[in-house]
Amino acid sequence: MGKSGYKSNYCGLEHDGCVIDTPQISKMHQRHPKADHVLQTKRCLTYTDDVIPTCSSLGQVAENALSDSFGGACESPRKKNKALEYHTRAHDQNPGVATLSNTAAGVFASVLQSTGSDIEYIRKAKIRGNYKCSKCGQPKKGHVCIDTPGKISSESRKDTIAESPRSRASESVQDDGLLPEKMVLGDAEELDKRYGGLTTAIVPHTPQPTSTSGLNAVENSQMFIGLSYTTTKKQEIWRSNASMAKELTPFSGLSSPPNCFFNEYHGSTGEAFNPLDRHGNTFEENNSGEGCQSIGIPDTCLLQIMARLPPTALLVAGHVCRQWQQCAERTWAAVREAHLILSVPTLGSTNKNEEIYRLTPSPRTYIPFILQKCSNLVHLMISVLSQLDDTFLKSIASSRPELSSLEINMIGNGINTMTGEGLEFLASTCKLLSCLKIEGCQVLSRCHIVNSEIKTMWLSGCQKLTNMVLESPLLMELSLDFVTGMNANLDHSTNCPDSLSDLTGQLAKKLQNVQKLHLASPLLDDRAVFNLLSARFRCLRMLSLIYGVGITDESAIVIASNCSDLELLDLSGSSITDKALVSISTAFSKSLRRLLVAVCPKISEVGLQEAVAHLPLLELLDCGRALGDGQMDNMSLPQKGQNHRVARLVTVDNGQGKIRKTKSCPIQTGKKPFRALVLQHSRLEKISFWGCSNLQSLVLDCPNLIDLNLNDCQNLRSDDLVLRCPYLRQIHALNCEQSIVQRARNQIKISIFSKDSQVPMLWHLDGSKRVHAPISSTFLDAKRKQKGTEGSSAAVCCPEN
Amino acid sequence: MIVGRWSDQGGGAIFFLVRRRRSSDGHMFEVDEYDRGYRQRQCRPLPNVISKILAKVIEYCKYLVDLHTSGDEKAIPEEDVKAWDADFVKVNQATLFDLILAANHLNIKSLLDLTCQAVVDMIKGL
Repeated sequence: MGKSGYKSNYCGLEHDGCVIDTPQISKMHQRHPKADHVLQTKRCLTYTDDVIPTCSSLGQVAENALSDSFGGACESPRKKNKALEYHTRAHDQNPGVATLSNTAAGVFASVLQSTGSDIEYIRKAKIRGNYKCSKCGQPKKGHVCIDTPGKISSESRKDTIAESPRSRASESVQDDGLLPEKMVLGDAEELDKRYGGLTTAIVPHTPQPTSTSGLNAVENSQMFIGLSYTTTKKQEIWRSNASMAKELTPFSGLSSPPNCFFNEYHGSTGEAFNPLDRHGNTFEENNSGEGCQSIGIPDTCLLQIMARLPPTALLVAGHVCRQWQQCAERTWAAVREAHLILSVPTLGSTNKNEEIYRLTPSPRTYIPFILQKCSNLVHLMISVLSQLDDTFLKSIASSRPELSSLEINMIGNGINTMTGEGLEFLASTCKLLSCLKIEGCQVLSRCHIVNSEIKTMWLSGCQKLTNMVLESPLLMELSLDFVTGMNANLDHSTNCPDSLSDLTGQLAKKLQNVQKLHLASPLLDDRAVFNLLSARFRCLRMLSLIYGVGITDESAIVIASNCSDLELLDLSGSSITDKALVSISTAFSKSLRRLLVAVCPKISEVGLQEAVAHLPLLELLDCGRALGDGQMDNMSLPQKGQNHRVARLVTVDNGQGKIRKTKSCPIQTGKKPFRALVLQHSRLEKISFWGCSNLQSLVLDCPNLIDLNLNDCQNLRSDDLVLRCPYLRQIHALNCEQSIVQRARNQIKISIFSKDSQVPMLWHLDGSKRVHAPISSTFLDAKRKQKGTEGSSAAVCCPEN
Repeated sequence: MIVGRWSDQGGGAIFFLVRRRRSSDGHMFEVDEYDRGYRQRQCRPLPNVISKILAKVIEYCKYLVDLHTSGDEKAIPEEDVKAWDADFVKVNQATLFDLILAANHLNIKSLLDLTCQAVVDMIKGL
């Protein structure tokens, strides 16, 4: 007693010494008529000498009291401000430091009296709402409330819980914000502007067709209740390009729109699943029914938005505020698949400061950084516009060693200077690497890959490869493409048939488990095939040795004897004859489903008919340009204005099987007899006679036929076309007589009738990737001349794109 | 009472019935959904959606309905659709934000995609 300073200046009551009792104080303060200040009755905040509260507890009490009394019914903003200021000041003071005056009342008095509170500071302080949630009456701290008030809350709660799986899934999808789809961020338009039509080069490289706004479902997300960072199964695709460098101004480039959603720093609304609002919910204002004007963007929507951002913008967006940073982290954590473009940042923009530009990192530096942020990245696809070298590859490998699939495409003028060292480093660092697909390995000459997990390896463009040792017992798919990117000027002294056969011999030692093998090289010859097949393939299912003009019947015989149960055999571009066909069909009659013998000029229709007769399981047959010698005299296809007339091996995948179009072969001068073909097969689904210009009559008795390719069958007479295929859906009939189309239409009901040429692409073995397969015709012709095949004048035509 | 119908991209026509409903907390809109695919009648109150936003949402849904009914004849070319979409999101940011929340709540995927993409474009600086 006797502490006269303890009088409240507001109500004038004296205070006894008493114990601080928080909840009762709040209640009493509410009941007090002058409920606009803290101190009231006897049971009030006081200090006794032995109980000196720390500042934090004082602050807590004050906060509770203040929020309660000032919360809903506060009319005077001045008093509210004062309460705020008190709170902030109390928190500013260090607990325990005796800057607090002895008397709480004195403190309060001084605070409450002060009117010159800095308004600036008040404005920056958080606006507080009620302590208790107005919907359910529970204290708001750590409280999750369904955002429908009143008596509907129980119903809606039931509704949200018993909601249909669709909405539940979508909600949980939206909660993680990441759609189970591949998102191709809209950089394709920018790329279009920059590189002309090269986006079309990018688009086919993805496994599914994409559009600039394409959203293709790749994998369905699992439905799960609640959120968890690491168990999401969403996928995203990011694209970044050089123009991102323009936007990546990490410290100065925060554009205003993100801020507009955060004018008031509120937490998010009471969404049902939202564990992230550590910071917001305590001070949430519930304005149910009034609209969402004062509530910040909920995380679900924010994740939707962030999921569509390119990675550089996402890096920037993480710096905006805490909520955005959390959402950005979640987005990074959910990235499973990334498609990045390695390019040189441009110096294009004129309103750039020099200084800011220096801060802009080049893709070579920020790509590894991005990879480090994506802690769950599994597939990585890189499109190289500028240059890929060993150091970059090593940086990728070290920043993301858990990578399991790596694909590298070359577009435009991209250069790949990767050597065996880089590849070995990659293989040894990324121990979980199971799929490796690299294009343009022009410099690669020797490599020794030790990796226990690798299952799929596609290397294309490896013209200089001479030594390759693969210590990978699980290898299932191997594809070595020596053809891509070759042109006639290339020096082939390093790569002669001997070296290729040595290479295949080396490979053969380790390829016991290989199921799919693909070698494409003009240097393939019988010896290479012998070496290759000296390996005891236990489960080889698909064998493809294309472009090899040196392959003759003997190789076919060896294949027939060594391999069993082949399902796909592709000997396009070789010099096999009917004898080979006979041996193949007898050997694989129980298993062969796809036979591709395009551009094998020595095959005649007799062999084809034999083959078809003896292969009951055959589903796809490709014999373009294979009937006798293809005649090109009447060709009227437009030529490309290039130095080399490029022929393309064209394949179209229509889902189940493959139709291989042929590449052109040298024109034979002189007339050749026209051929007639009668094919009868019960299971054939797709046939291609592309380029068989000496085919005159065709009778197809294949009830299951779905797709028929008659492009460039110019001499096919419509009277002689008999199609007994009721299910035929597609006919490609470019450069055929007009009446053929009509006649075919009359014979069968066709739903899709395409007269345009096909895009010249080559499907890989499992039909999942398209690559261009150009090859210089002059080079081919040179090879043919060496082998002594006919063909003095090699005029090659190319199909138009 | 507004009766409308739209078919979302997920397939299935959704009939919806919107009516104003008075509740203790003020006016709210309620949406009765009858989704053919799910055969459920869902009554979803929309406390977060005010009338202005709902009008925009209904406008969008009507456009979708028109698109789908005439899409069989391929009458509307894609550029027009894009132009209409671009026009639709040229609103002030508060409205855009409310549209996002409404689309999120009403589970209209295409509207959500559209509005989020608009925001992303703003963030990217386009």
